[in-house]
Amino acid sequence: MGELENNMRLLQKIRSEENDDFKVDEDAVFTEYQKRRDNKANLAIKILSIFGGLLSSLGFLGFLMILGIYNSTTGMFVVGLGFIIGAIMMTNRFEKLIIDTFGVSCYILGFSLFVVALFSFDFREDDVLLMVIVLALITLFLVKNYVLSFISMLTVGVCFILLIISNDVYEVIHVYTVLYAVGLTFFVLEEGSLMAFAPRMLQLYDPLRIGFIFSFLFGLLALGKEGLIPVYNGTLWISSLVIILLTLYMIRSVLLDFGETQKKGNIGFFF
Amino acid sequence: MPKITREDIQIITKHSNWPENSVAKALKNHVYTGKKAWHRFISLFLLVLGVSFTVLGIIFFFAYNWDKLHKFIKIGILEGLVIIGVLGVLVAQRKPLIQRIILTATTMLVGVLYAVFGQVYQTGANAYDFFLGWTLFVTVWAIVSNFPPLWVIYIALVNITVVLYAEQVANDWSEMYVFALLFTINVLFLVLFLWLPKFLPLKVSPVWFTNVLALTAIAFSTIGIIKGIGRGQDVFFNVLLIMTPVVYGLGIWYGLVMKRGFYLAIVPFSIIIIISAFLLNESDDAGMLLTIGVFIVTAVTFLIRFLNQIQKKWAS
Repeated sequence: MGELENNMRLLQKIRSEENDDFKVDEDAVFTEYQKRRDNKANLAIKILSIFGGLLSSLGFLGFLMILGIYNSTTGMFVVGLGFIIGAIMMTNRFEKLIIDTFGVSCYILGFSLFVVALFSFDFREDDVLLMVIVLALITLFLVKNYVLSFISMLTVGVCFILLIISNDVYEVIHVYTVLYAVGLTFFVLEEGSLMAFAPRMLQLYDPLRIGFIFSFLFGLLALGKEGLIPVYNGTLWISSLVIILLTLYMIRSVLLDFGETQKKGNIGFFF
Repeated sequence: MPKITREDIQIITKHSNWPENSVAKALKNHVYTGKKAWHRFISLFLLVLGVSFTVLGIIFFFAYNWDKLHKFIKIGILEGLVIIGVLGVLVAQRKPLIQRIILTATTMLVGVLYAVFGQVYQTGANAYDFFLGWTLFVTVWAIVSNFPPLWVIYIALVNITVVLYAEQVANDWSEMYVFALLFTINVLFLVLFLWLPKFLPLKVSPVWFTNVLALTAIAFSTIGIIKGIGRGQDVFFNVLLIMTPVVYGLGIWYGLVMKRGFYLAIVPFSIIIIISAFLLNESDDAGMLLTIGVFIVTAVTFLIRFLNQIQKKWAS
């Protein structure tokens, strides 16, 4: 009862601060609170879901391979897509924490079979990676599950890096890193706008943000770890320049939020 | 009224026509970090960054200019830096955090000093001697400072010393013995850090530090048991098999009593992995792989359900 009272007081507080045009569906709000309370997943639970799903999908994949699914390319393609669709439908339909592990397992297994099938169809590596990116993006916008959204985001990032490597266009890693840095900055600074713009997509906000962070880190790892991607040493600074500018822009935003006003265009601000 | 969280703002935005600028204002006032926290973060972050880059710069300075430096200068610079570090700790009496950060940097420089010493004089010592010397000579600093990041470095050094000793000197030590020893050492450290503050006037260790220790200990026991399964008789495998349930039982008890969900998550997950390894050792045919897959999904699902229920119970 205490939590319900707190929720009601919060709504009243917001109503008092807004004008009469402010409309809220109270029943939907309380139902959403209840649903989130029933499925509250801390970091340990999310990590358990991911690792549990990963390990079990290895077991299922081994089972299918021994049974000979590898001999049937069409079988792998159909079963793979079936598992992906099944994972999305199951997690969307039930929206329960306990379904997460099974959903992740089906999703990873489905993707693995789908990719192996595409290679068996003799598609070029680039075409396979592009198809995986498209499928991951479609999944991202269809699924309402935190863990599956996060895995989809990571899949997109990793596939972009693999595309860069397979086409030997190693300097494009700077474009990758810069785009993800800009994307992450926009995501963080415009959180309010994004929430108000697409409220139905709010469940994507947290996994997208953490997915952006990890994908950005993968890009930095590719640049920083010698031998991973053979980038010309003379151009290593390119993406750093943009990241420095973004950092300065964010510092400015933070300082302006704290009322540290300066004359427009005064770059002494940063010193 | 309790604090407004990001989740509250997300839920209300989803089911209302709350305007964009009001949402942004609510996030700024209730969710985003305040001026004081930013100030503290930036001062700490820049200090740590500065110290880390200085230490790395010193290491790379030696690496790059190795041939051009006389041996007295090589060792003299490092010993001078260690002395300056210690003097810095003594000078910064009013700022305990800065003292500890400088001491941690000086600990790293001690390692660089011994590495340079070994290279200059070509003592022919094993790598474990280097880590053993480094560990012994920073023991007092680790105890006196009681600074978790320094303890992380110290415990890592202890583990590395044991592993290298087993590889280079103690060739008669079985692999199981090494895993059992590493498990014991890390569990002892964990117990000391959890229990000593109850009896001595020591600061309670931060949760992240004890979690890292617990994870390290469990990693050694899990990997040790997995490697030992199916390898044949080794008395230390049996020792590990006896120690592990006892320690795991204590870990679960501690997690329940102190309401630490982390222990209730990692201990059962380790057990799930060990049972899966055992099943795989029995057979690796299709039926067993299916069984393992189903077992992992079912077990993790029940574990998540249990954790969720216990979380709700603690919250109420």
